[in-house]
Amino acid sequence: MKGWMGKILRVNLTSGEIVTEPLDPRLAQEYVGGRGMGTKLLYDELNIKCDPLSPENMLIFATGSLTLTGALSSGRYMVVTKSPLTGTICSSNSGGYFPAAFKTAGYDVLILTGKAKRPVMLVIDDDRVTIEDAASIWGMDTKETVSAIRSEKGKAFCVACIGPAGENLVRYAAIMNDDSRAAARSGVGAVMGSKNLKAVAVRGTRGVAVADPEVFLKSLVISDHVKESDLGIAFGEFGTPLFVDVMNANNIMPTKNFQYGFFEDGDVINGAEIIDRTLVRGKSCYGCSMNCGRNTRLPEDSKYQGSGDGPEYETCYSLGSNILVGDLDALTKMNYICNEMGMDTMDAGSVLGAVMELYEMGNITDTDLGYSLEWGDADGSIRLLYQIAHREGFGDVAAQGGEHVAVEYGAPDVFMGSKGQGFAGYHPRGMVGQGLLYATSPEGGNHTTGNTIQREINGIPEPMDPFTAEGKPELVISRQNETAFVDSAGVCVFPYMLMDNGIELLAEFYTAATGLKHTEGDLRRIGERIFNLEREFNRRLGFAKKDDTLPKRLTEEPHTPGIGEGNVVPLAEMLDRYYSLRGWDLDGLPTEGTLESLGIE
Amino acid sequence: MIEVTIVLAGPLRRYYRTSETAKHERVQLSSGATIRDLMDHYGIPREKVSHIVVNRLRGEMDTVLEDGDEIRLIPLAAGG
Repeated sequence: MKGWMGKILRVNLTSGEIVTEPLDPRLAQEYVGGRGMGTKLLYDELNIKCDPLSPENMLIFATGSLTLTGALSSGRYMVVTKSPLTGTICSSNSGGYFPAAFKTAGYDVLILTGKAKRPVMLVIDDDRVTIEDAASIWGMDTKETVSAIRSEKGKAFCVACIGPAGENLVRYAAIMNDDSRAAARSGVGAVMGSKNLKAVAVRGTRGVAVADPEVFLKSLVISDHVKESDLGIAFGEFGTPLFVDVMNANNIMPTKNFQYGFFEDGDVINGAEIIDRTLVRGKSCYGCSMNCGRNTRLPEDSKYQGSGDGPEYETCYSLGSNILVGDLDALTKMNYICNEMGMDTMDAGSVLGAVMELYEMGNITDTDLGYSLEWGDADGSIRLLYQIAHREGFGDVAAQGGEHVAVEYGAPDVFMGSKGQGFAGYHPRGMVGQGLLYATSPEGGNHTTGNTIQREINGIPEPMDPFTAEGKPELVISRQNETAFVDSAGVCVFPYMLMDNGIELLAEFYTAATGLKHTEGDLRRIGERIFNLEREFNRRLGFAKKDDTLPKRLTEEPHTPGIGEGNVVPLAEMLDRYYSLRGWDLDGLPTEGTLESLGIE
Repeated sequence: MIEVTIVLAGPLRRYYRTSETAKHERVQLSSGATIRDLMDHYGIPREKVSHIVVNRLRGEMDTVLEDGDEIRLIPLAAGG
């Protein structure tokens, strides 16, 4: 098999059994890797009704057939599991260097089951795989953990780990790897914590064989081309926080828990302000030259101190505009805390937004919190973030997620998310396709399963009215199918999304890696299969149309002044057509004919 | 004459007259000036601008500016 290493590593943390088995070529060809392969393994093997935080749940680390190959930006992996935040299947993506390192050890996929009796870490050193005691690093934050392991084992090891949030089963805990890269969403870190697994350290010496190596030389040319385009230059210089300007100007930067789409202080939490105030250097993941990461340090004269990575755009929204913190230093500090504690900045911000609104309503009081928490209160937010990570005081409730808090305190509509997961930083009242995406994403409020921004807002390849239902089901389906493939191949969505012929290029790389001739249409078909299998997984858990919802704030409350004023998300209108185009029934469930046509048994 | 405020996002900030790290600038233009005139004044090529926003509403190249307007010029960007 070319493109894949051809091996799955299975570790049962209850029994300590470690087994290597060959990768089934059919599984590889039908589901590629990453999100697709993880989903198929979970679908076939998991007791689907299990408690996500029980030993029964499977935690799957899956690279893709392009990870490590030399394809453009080929340093990604997916963590796939049953989510403790949403109760659905979920897949969480990360880059950095750990994913490529994992593949150099000779494996495509790691399947973790069971629960260790005491804290452990898994050490993978090519073929030598051991479960080692982790008592001395349990309780450490993620930076300390990575540093301690690399000090002991050697700098050639890459580390993925959890922080206190994962240990304490915060339902939106992340798995962090390398320097602050995060498989952040859906609580994958809590699943790792529930297994008493603090870290996975990996070192390898192998390369991956590809069918047609010369094709990969293209990466160098294309990489230069992308880097030298206006978009590439902007991306490398300003990183994703450049998006603050785009979103704010278009009235779609979620502000004050999605009450508004424009943040008055947007100009002081954007990419330019980061360059002028905190940026140390841009950073790239393995096999990428985009340089979109932000390595930063807070200035000496700042009230807040520290260094690390971030913020990305999503954090500028979640811990900035969403909670009215118009202070780059404060939101950067909150970003560092989330990274170090190992939790998702998006759901952390979503929870804070809900708590602040409930506090304003009087549903949550000083007595509940032990302190006040007005909109824009950065110090109160920092206090609550630490409490969440350690499950102390009100943090114990907030650690259950925004939906739980909103229900518990008598105002479910205050939660801005779908299927229990908080939204990313795109206000659907000003780009309604993104609303449909959130509602139909397998794990709820997730922007990474098929972002519509390029078409709806940037008008690429051609302009589209972002306020109406027209064409949105088609757009969302197309983006979801493409992204399911991207997430399975082990590459980053960014460069492929930025190029007009991104999917065509991906098909070329995939063909060159595997030797299996694939067209753009083939890739979309595989993506469609993966997306439908995720839907089928969720169907077996009882998820259906009733769960493809958005908060009333998006579907009933008119959009606030600025572009798109008065608009709401026409979800019902979009959903019916979406289901029909998907080949699903009126309840949003895949029909037998649809599943059969996609080769899903 | 009219006076308007211009906000240049991301790499477009190189076109600020006062300082690259400015947050915005106030600029005087002839009455009846359009976005096109404003961009010509700053020497900003049309293809560098993806979004034109005037007083928080969408603007066009021939949108006529009025005294006190706020104009945001945004380059193409992608993120997440």
